[in-house]
Amino acid sequence: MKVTIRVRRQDPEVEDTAPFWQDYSLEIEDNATVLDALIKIREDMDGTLSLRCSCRSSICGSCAMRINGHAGLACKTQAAAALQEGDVIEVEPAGNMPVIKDLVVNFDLFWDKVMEVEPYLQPQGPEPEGEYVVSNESMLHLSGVTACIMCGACVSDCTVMEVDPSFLGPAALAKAYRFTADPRDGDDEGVSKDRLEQLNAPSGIWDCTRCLECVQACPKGVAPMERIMAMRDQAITAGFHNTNGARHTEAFSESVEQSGTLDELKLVPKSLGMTNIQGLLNYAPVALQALTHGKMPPLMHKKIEGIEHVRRIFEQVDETER
Amino acid sequence: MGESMNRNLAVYRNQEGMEETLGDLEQLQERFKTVPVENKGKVFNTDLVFGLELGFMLDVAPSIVVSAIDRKDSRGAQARTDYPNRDDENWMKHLVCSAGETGPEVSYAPVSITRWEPEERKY
Repeated sequence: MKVTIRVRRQDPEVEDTAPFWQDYSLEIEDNATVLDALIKIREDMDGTLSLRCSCRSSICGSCAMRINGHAGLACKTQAAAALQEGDVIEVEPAGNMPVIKDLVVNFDLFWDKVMEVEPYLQPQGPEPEGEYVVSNESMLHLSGVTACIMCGACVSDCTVMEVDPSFLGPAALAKAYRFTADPRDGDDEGVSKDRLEQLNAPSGIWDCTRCLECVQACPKGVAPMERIMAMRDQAITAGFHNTNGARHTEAFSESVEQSGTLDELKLVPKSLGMTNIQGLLNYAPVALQALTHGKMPPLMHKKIEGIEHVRRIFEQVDETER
Repeated sequence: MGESMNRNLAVYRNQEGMEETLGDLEQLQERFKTVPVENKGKVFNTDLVFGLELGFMLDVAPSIVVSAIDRKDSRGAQARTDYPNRDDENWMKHLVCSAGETGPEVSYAPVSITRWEPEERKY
């Protein structure tokens, strides 16, 4: 099978360090992966191409990169399935991390964020006489998160980190969930209150925009976004109502329950807190802009027809939750 | 190197095959003297790393072959088709390989036996 691998390259040691595209045309086996093709380029065509790889079987997490614009493991991507028009496969370094050279990026910030969530058990209850005993069921759901191989594919494609590098990000937050959901971590009921309080802070669980890119990018099914949503639940259940995120969630649900649709005008002050004058003033320019562009939500929010059906849904959910 | 070592020095080994690999390694060591490194950079230069590693592996590989040829019995990861039996009388000893003037040199060290007596695996 003849393919063209179009590689986004960058060399910090030459005069012009700007990234550029380079095409390699080569013959590969029909069942070759994108990584097989890259290794062939490096070994037979161009020894100056730099990339990270090791196990070639999606265990080590070294070869995460963007393939045709989306992050994934090169060793888990069949070349035949990735062919675009003209039998071209576009390969770029992972995003949201600085490029060291060609397809190799610097993971320092990635590890800093993982360390920031203190990725080790911190039991606060009384120490048991023997070992900590947990039920099989309470650990089963964690197998999804412990499958993480720290490849950085989720971080690469996180749309929040792209605009706010301070966001803890999908990998570190999925790692945090591994502990907030562990019955041994936190108080004697297994509630990790201290952790959840920290995760409530700006750059934490409430900054995810639920774009789903991390769920799509993850090669191991960790589904970081779903873990972040689960921690929001844990935080509210643990009694943290006094955060922008919790207020936003509660105001959102209240508005839909009462009227069937979202009352956008009330959502902002309710999310920020009615007495948060500074926060509200910060929003004034946005409100003005909306007004001048004819995007102001109606001042009088109306109930939709058949609102009683919506309320029935809420009642049912309430019942099943209980 | 990898191909020759995998062919003749994986689990099943014999005199003829191992001598073939010894010859291959000699040729490869000669070729290695002129091995090119295309990448001249100082940043994440895997071309250079692989070049250096190949040299180290070509240094070490003959010690595996010479020792395996020397040991004329089968045990553990060495299954010699020309010496299929375990021979504790002559070969219950360690082989110590060191770099000599003209290549690897083999000497012997005794096995210190503690609580569990070594015995043949029969399963």
